[in-house]
Amino acid sequence: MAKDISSERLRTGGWMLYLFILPSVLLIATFAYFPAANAMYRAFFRWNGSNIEEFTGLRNFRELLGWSPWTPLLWLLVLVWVALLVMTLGGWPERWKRRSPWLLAVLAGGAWAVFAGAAVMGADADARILNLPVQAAARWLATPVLCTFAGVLLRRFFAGRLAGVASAALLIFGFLSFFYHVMRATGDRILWSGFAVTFIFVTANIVKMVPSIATAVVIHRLKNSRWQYFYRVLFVIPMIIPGMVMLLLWKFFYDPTQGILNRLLNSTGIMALLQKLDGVFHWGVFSATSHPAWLGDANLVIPSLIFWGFPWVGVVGVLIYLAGLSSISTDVYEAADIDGVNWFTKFLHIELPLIMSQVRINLVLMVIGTLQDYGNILVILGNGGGPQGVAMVPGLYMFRNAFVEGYAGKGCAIGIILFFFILILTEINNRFVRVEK
Amino acid sequence: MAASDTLHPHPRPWMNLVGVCILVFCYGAAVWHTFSTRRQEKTGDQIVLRLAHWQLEAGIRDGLERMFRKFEDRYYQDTGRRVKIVQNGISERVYPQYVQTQCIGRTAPDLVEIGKYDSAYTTRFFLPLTVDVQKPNPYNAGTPLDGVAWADTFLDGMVSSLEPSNLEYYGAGLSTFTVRIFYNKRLMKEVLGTDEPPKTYREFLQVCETFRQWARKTGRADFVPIAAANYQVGLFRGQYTDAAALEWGLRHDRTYSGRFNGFWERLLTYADGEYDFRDPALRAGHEMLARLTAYFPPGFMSQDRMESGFRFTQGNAVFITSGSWDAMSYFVQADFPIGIMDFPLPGRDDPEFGRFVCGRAFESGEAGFRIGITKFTKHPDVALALLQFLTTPENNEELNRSFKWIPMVKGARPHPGIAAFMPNTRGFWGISPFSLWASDRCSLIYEQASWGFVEHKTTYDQFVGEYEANLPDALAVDLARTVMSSRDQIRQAGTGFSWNLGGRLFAGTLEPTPVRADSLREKAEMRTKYLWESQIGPLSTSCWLARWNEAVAKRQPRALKIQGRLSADLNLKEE
Repeated sequence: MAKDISSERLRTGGWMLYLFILPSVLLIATFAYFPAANAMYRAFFRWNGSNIEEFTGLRNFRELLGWSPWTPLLWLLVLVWVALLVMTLGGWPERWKRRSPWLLAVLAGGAWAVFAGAAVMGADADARILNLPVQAAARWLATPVLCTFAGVLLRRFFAGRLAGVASAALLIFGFLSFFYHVMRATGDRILWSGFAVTFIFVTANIVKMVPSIATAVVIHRLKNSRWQYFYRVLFVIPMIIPGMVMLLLWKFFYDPTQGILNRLLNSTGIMALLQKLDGVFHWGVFSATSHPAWLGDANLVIPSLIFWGFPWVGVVGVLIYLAGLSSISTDVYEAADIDGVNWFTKFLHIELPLIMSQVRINLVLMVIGTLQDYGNILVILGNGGGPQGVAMVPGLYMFRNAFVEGYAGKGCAIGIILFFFILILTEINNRFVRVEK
Repeated sequence: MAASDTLHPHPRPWMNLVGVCILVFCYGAAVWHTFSTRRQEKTGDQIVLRLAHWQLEAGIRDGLERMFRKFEDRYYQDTGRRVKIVQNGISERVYPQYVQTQCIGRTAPDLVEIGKYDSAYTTRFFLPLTVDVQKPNPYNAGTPLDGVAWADTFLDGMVSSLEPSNLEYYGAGLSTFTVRIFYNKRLMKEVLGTDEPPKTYREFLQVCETFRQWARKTGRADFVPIAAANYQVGLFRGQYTDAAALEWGLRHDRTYSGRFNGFWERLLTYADGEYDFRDPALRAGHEMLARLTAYFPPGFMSQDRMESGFRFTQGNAVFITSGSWDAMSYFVQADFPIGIMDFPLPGRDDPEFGRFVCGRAFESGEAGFRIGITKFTKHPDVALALLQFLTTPENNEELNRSFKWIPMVKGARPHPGIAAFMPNTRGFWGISPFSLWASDRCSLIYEQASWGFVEHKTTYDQFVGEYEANLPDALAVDLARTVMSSRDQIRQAGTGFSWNLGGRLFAGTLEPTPVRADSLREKAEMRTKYLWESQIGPLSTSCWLARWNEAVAKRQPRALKIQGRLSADLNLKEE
């Protein structure tokens, strides 16, 4: 076990220890902190990545976040909304506990009433607020308002954990929908559409964590240690396959004419079913005359990217969960067996709480990875974001600004916005994903 | 010693050293190889020249190697000096980054293929050949081109090598490229009974339909009439929308360049309400393209050039379009005879599109595979000799025949197999209304909106609606970029003017001898002249900006819409 170094020792002969860590500190400072700090600095410049550099203050941010006479009012609205949302979900301070949901509903309803009123009373279709006709603004505000109302009513009239979760989901979605529409209307439309796509990916990736946890639990529960070892090795092997090979395999999997997916759907009759459903719901995707282009159709590209990597058993994730599971004492299982606990209850009340540290770290890594990632989309769909630009995620937009359009300063500003989103989501994760010690 | 080490002493401790020995050996070998090569280059009699290019298609490097050996022998005969030319083939995808980092690091090869990277690097890091192109090519002595200025021996008079920003010539083009349609002769014969290609647009559609029916009947699910990817859409678009929008383009050509492809033309016609995709001519061009994309493979927009080429050479398609640069690859990879045909256009009697199409467009035959000499070469004379050697009619013909490309020099004949690629110099002037720049925002939104249309997911009106909804934002971004870029150029030139003016005025003080002072004065004058000439671009931007300000002052609705989206002040006066 490592010994603590006394302060006396540090004062007398400790300089040598500092000397040992100096190379690491220098390397981290040079290759991690300096570029990050430099990117933050450059975000305030019109910079082309090489010789053109001009200080422009907040212009890059104004272009991305938007600026109009309405902006201060809108940001005030956003801040009040966030404050009430946090108070509602957190249930504090005590004396506002009952009032805050209603205030939230009043705020959302009031905002909608202003827009709807302007649309009706003004009767001028060309009047514009947030770069949108007033009528359109009133229409898009309907979703956040309805979600917020539903969330508040659910919280007020229904008790229980499920109602609480559903209410929180509705309230959060209501706010995000409002925020998305505001930012898309006032700020850079491409960037904020990209954030909406990333939100979908993050949500999907949370679900995609389940197979890794399940696989780790199954391997952990194997009685035979040799088999356990065998499966662990089996999960390490894919790590040595280059990512590009996997990418090409999946691209081939989705190929419309020669890909396995369409062949599978055709041979099992699922394609015929999908075509029938398409006839009913008018998706315009599945037809008898052509194969669906999974990566070439604006309606299919996001689901295809979500399905990518099925059955979503992440190698690193499984190994991390296995490490957590292996630290659970056998006494706990023996006690559970004596109490007659079934396999699912064991998972729910023993294993899952005890690997929450691992779940949380994977969640943080996943959120960071999803927000930053654009490599696969760039390779598969190019820097235009694929069909009709639907896959233009913020990372890809940052790349395009910096390396294609020559707005490296603006790319840095997008990086900072991403950084703040990651920071906020990580903080939410740390606060709300509780670890039972 | 740790307890674990006592319990499990390593049976063979020397094994640990094996890895280290291998590492040291490899490192040593690499260092030895590098230094011995450098020493040979520095001290040996042999001059080594390096050439970087991105032409990795089949047969290109072999053809170049043969010509390099021929040059090395000839140069030795002429001068008694040994030369070795080494070529570095760089992947097209990383070529811009390669050239830019090599230039900035001052380690660029002696000769570099010009293109792909930022054109500013050419003027900054390449040697101008302006003086040399006006003198005869010494390797043409005794040929019909004896005594003719080197520039005049090229099909395009070396216009492609002229850099408009400073009116200097950079590099020499070895080949010219055109785009045609390749077709599988064996399949044509088998299905249609003849390998004669279709002559008109309607015939082309008919043949495609016949092949589609044939594929259905024979159960060939993988077969499509036209092998295509995103890359090919641009090539087809260039032909059909250009053909239909020829008159439309001339009508809106505000620079009198015979083209409608500049940013300012697009912006001002948009502000005036003339840039309207609902115009029947533009609609016709896009409709012609869409009729053809119906015969492309599903999801072609998400596929790349290699996939479409593979489909064609595997016999899973009867047609593919590409440039002459791909001819050799297709000839080598396919096991069937390949025919080459021009793009079949609708005749004037075509009931639907005939009234828009004037006929075949003229092909300028601009040079490709342009090799420039970098400022880092220690042997600019040898590098120039190599370029002159490769551009004699005899050698240019031999070089291009070896990899089945179109020669660039007068008197050089192409390989008979690719004669169909010879530029069509008779026809209407091409207008290129849709030559979108790869890096601008307008091209991004056009590509995004048109994706669904060419894939038959959205109608033409939906495509136009989506494009026009995003156009003001995109034009605002591009307008700010264009103006800022000009302003940057003026600022940079200002520094250059001051510097060279100082050199001109104070040459006597700065240089110790009158001869060196004269030389400095002369250089300063020349540079000032070039800098002045390079101001044409920014000055024209100033004129266009004045026109734009007029449109805003007239309160044209579209102009106001764009102006409202600008975050930068375009009319900022320098302090």
